Amino acid sequence: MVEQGNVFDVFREPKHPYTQALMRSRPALKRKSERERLMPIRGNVPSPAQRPRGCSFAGRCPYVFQPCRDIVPARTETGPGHVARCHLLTQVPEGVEA
Amino acid sequence: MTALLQVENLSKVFSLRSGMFGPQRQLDALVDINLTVEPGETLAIVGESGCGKTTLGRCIVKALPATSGKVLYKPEGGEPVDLTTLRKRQMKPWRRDIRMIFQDPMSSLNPNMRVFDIVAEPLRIHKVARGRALEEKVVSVLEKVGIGAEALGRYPHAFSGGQRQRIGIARALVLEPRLIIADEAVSALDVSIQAQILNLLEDLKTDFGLTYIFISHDLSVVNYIADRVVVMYLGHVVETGPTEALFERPRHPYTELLLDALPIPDPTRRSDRKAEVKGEIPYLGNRPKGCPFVTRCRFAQDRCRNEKPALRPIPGTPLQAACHFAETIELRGAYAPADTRKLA
Repeated sequence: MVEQGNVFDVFREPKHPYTQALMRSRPALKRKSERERLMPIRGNVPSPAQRPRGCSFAGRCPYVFQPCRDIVPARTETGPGHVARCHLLTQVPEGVEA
Repeated sequence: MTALLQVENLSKVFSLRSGMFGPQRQLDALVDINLTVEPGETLAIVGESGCGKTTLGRCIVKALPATSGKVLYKPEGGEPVDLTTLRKRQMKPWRRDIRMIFQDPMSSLNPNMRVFDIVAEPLRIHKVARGRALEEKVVSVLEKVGIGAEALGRYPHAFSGGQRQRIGIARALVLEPRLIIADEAVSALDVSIQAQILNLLEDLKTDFGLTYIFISHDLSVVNYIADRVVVMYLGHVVETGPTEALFERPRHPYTELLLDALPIPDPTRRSDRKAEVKGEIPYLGNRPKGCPFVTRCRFAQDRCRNEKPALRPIPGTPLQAACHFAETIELRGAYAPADTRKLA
């Protein structure tokens, strides 16, 4: 589980980079002038036999930083009933202004 | 003729017989289809299952013989050829120019052939290249679709759905076609892989100057990729025109129904839905006498039950629609109103 919550919250403001990436993969119903190139998630789904040690999305995440590959992110409440597991919700990567 | 392909009054009738001595019945799968495909465009053919979109694609490439009508193909620097009149051998050169990509990459690749042979086969059949040159062509086309040389000796089962679809695209591309007919080419893929393949199709189109006929039931994908759309219902073209105009304000109630049935990934817009989907697509052998859509249309009048509307240009729009009331009915489009756009 990487993110869980009410449909309205999760669709309006997805907190986990995986959820955000899924949303960007789907062509939105937009007029030609606002059309953006689709952004598929890079890489492939890892084999369940070789599950990453830390966050399971670490190998494909565009925002990956130092704790991601080794430490499983904790369940973090981002709103009432809305939880996600991502280090970005609890830490700021080094070299990035908060 | 400036078009790359022009379909004129194309009809396809399937004859059915129940039992050896049973009565013969006729099934009109395609009725008097007219359409053009301009060079460099992506033309989408949309509609529900059973509307004839696949049959149309198959009749164009002569995988099925048309019952009547013409399919005019304009070769590079040549005069238009009517493909429907050609014998198998006469058709062969044009099979290099017009290629197909299929929906199910599991069943459209021969499981007993290695990737190299799957992609090399069209080159061998058309005697385009052999030996070293053939190898180079295969490796280079696979590279273009994102499959590395290490995959050449493997069999299709060793690949994921997305990779198999890439191999199918390489097979279509290796003969350097001008027109590709993609029949539900991304429908079996999950969203992220679908996005990769759609991006790939767009890049290949630019790189090789391709033209696509994109057969799909997925209108979000069609809105994204197509320049023009043909909407089919019960073997008829009911509406056609540029994608944006057709999605903004359709002129045929069936198009509205299709657009209305689209899931919008924004739960706050759920209540926008109004027109509920009425009824099911009727059995082809039981086609209504007047307008084919009359049994499900919320605007149906007596005239619609008795008189079949012709596909005609709708004044003041770039659209053509086959509806008696196309000028007056107010139909809902697919886009969010300009000022309340939410959710990317």
